[in-house]
Amino acid sequence: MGNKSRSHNERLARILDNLGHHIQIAPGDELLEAARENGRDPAEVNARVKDILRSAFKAHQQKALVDAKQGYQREISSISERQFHLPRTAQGRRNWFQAVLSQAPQLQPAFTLQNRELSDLSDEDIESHLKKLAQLGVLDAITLPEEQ
Amino acid sequence: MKGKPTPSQPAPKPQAATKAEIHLAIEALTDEDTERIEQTALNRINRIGRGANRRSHEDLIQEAFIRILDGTRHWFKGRVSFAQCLIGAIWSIASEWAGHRERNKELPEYASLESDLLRPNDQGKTTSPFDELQSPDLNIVEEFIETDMNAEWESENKALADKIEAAFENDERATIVLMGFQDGMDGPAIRAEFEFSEKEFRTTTRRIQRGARKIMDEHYGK
Repeated sequence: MGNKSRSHNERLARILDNLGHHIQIAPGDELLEAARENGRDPAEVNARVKDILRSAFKAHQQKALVDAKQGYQREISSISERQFHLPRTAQGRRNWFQAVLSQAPQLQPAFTLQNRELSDLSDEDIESHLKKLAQLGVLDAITLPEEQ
Repeated sequence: MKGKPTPSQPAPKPQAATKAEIHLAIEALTDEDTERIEQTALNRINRIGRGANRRSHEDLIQEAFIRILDGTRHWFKGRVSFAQCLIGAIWSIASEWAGHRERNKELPEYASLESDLLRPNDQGKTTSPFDELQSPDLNIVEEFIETDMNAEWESENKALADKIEAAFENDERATIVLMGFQDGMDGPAIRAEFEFSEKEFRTTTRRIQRGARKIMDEHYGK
């Protein structure tokens, strides 16, 4: 034994690595006994370590909440800022709206068409509905007719 | 009549613990668990020295736990206890910090101030190692600091290793174990080579651990 060429960094590292392994496998009661012999209170260590973990847990949960809120805000902003161009003529907008209802018939109840014909809707109603559909991204999924 | 043998079921995939399970595990940590966690973190911070970059053993515990919480590391409940998982993360992050320093010694966060290198000369006057340089070129200065820092670290570690050895100079078994450790031998190799029983080796290592911790605590002013 005794390779004198080893560095002192390595000497200390090897001692500490082996002591680290000892800490991992030593019986728990021995660790506690050693702590008490060195004048340390294991209950105080327990409280302090748990506090570190609890604080980190709480901070992590709060961060997750903040991230979710920011994500929601970003989504809302992106919906309201979405650019879209509706047909310039009332007939062109009416054709688009018709296309939406035929390709996504499940939306019909949302526009209370049960008791009304499409022709009963005013041009303003149709324009307003199309804007909402565009903001929600519904128009992106619909094949829209070309404007005449 | 014998029935057909039942095909063996593949072992279920281990499930990473949920946040709620992790929260419960914190509350269930015993004094033994937290003592082992704290001692491990202290041991690793001492082991990586300047790689810790002024972070404490408590920072190391916190960082290890955050890695488990954010899913970078997983706690598989069926395999290890929460304390064992946290200790594994502590070892791993300490190595990562040490590796980061090794690869990025030139970063400002690892640089020491020139004031750290000031020393009194024989006449009691404070001098800087840069006083000897006519017009310091930046690369030469960095190289100078790096060499000086490494030499300082090497000398600090020599003093610590010597102190630990000296503390056990009258303890034959501890001296043998310490020499074995420094020569790269692990526990089983030392036990086999020197015919120590498991208990003899453990009690000796325990004595060394206590003494070494005291020396490290005194050195780092804890």
